[in-house]
Amino acid sequence: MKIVQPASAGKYGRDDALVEIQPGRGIDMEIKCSAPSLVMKNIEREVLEALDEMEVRDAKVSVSEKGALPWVLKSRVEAAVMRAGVND
Amino acid sequence: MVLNAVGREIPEEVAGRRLIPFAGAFKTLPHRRKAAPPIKHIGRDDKKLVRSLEEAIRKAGLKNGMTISFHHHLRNGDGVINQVVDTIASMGIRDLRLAQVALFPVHEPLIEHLKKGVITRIEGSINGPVGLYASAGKLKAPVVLRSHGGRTRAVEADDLHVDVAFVGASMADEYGNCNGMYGPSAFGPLSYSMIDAQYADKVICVTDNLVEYPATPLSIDQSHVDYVVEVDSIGDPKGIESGTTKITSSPTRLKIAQYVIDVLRYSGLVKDGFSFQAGAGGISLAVVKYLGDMLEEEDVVASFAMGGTTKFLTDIFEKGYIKKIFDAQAFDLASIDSLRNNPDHVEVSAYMYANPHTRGAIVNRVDTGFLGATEVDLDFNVNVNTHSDGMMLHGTGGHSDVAAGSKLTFVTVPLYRGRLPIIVDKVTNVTTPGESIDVIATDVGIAVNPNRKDLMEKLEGTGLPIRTIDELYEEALSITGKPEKPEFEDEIVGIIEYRDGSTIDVIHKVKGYEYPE
Amino acid sequence: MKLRRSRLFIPGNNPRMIQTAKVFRPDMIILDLEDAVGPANKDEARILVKNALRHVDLGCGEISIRVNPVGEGGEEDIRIINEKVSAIVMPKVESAKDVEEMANALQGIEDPMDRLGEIEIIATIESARGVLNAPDIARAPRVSALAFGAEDYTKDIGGERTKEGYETLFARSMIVAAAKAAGIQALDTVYSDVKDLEGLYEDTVRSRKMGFDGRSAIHPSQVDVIHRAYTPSPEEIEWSKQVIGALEEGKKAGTGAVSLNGKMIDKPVAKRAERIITLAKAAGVFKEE
Repeated sequence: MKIVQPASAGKYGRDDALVEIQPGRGIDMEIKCSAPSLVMKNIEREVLEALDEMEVRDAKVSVSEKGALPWVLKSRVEAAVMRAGVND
Repeated sequence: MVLNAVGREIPEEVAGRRLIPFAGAFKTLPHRRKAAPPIKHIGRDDKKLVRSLEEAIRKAGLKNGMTISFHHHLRNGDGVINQVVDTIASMGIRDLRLAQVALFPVHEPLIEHLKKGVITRIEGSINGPVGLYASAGKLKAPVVLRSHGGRTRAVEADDLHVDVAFVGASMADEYGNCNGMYGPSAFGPLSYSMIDAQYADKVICVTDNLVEYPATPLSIDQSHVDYVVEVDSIGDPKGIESGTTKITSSPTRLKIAQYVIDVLRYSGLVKDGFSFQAGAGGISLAVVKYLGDMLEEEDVVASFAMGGTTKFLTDIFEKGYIKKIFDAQAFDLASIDSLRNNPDHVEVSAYMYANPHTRGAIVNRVDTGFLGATEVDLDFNVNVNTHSDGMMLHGTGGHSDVAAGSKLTFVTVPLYRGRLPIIVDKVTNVTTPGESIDVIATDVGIAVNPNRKDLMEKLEGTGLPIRTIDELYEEALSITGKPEKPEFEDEIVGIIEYRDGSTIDVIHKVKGYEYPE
Repeated sequence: MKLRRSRLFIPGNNPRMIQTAKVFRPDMIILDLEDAVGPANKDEARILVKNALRHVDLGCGEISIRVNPVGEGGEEDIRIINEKVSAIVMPKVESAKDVEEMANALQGIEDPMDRLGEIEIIATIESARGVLNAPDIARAPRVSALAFGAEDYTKDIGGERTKEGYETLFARSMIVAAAKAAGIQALDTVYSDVKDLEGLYEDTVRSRKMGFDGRSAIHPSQVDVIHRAYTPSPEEIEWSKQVIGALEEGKKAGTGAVSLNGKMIDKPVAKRAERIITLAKAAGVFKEE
């Protein structure tokens, strides 16, 4: 998918995540999470995996997470990408 | 370094303090005589009432390096600690050891005094902002965290010597008789100051309600008080009712409470003469409410409840399903009212409630208690002092006391919080040893300690979701994924002292953690 | 027939409620993509539910999705169905034609999954027209239950919700009759006052006596109460055991007609006894002799 416009999905609320995506060069990620020392690496990996699954190579991604489990994070990344992108 | 009985490495000595490794819940026994404060004489013409906090502090002879103490009955509504420490700071006194029972977010202004060296050591429960500060290793010595029972043990044994005890009282007379039962700032029992009043070198009563002599009831009597000072306010009792005193409305947490009741039903403990520890915390309050319903349904009368008292508890008491209440902390107006008006609702000292080194604590007589946790591990060890990220954020309260004493101890926790499993392979820090914990009740299942085969037999075939702790752990991980574990430095920022004076764990500084200025 | 005493609505865009649904052990979970999700969030909710179906343990009960109507997103909604989903809940069904449209759409997604014809439809009737067409809807393809939506129905007829329920009496009776005549289940509406559990219990007992096989729950605390209302009494269980026992004796003896206490045990009686035993077992109160 090619990211052509900014979009977001989810919300910065309990057990959820707000994922904001916009066009960029390479994958540029910014993460805000609770207990960063414990979960930051996992969140990074999960976001990259979700982007990779959707073949997104270039995007600026911002994740604000508040206890979102892996399946929720994946869903929000997917939804943000679908809103922001087109098939290339 | 020595490995203690829960497998934690304990140094022989930290910051000049010799540490005794925890050897088991009932293994470290007392071998000394009680400490004793100096014998005093206050004569017929001597006056105790002083005009200001400053005068009281000066007359008490507070000097650099001494230890001051406070109770925590007003919880997040406390106004005594901040104003006393402000006054001490303005007098130029420094390097004090703070031996409060517990701190709350309202005590965040203390951080300025910590930074300026007015207070350099803390031996007492910390909470939130001060915990974060202490976790950065900014104090002169590690924080010492004790349970309620353990604190009274330490004071009586002079392991925690208090030079000046400040007793906030909502009613007092000019000669030092005081209580927390009456007055605009009434908060209930004065349980946690009683040991300080008995053993501290000097005792200052701080009140916002000076009444004609004699002030009754005599929660603390004049023979223990050196000075009395009236201030504008000792705090706001509305601050007692914080988040920990509201019943949970979360359906999953209510489910956990229901599982506790279900296990109790099959345990055979709930019959006439039954007793229980009532606590605060959303799930505990739900358990108390459901327990009350159960006592009423089955027409069972409990012999007593040990509180943490709330309206939920006093409602059951007033309906006649609990004969007596022992009270060490009131959480709302209804319980203060009950304490005032009902002779079977009795104020008790923290000493009598939970000290293991006495002729028998109340916790020894309790059938069941319901406790929380930040983490629980595969050996049923419980952490309440730190979070999984290693931050020192909570005191012990009565946790290890109730766990050791009660016949059936529950820990009630969700399987995970946010992205973090609560059931872990090894807790970050041990507060209460697994041998004292009988049942872990989560929203997805109930784990019974393998050392309770009697209970396991009773629960077979009941249809309850009984799982092994390993199964719960695997399930938690499958949902959250495996989080990283924090890295620690060698520096020790906290000592978790078990109720008998031994060290059950030490808290290391999280690598690279700096207090955010 | 499947046990559908309780059907717990889970808002499809609420991660917390989705991942904790199994704790409450409802007979059915309804992942709601319709009323519970605002128009701007239908797409993200669909993706959330899709991933929930694939990655979350939703418990042992039946799993269904309340889809949007065909032409309003329903066709996209059914594309997320996987092997875990046993039924879809169709809202605002007014005619058998509505159901047929959806049934055709379902065929398209079932085929690649090798599940042709498997997904059931629970048709929710929420209007006057729907009520009057209930017999036809009940006989439409794949419909395994008729459900009733009281709020929208009451608005449609210009009535007002009351505690006594007069305004919905005809609709509920019609739905029960239509469902049972077609040999399918009848499922009652939600009880909106989530704080009034006593009221919920009494209303559910009344609903059960009317012939409903279950009802919806909009809050987890309602599930246990609904199950309790569907728990047979010891007397009912004893009677059922006697009926089943008499039937088995009759079968062994090769007798055609069987009686119990002087009364004939005909098919409806036998069916009732079997149902009571099923409910008793589900509630954990049936003890084998």
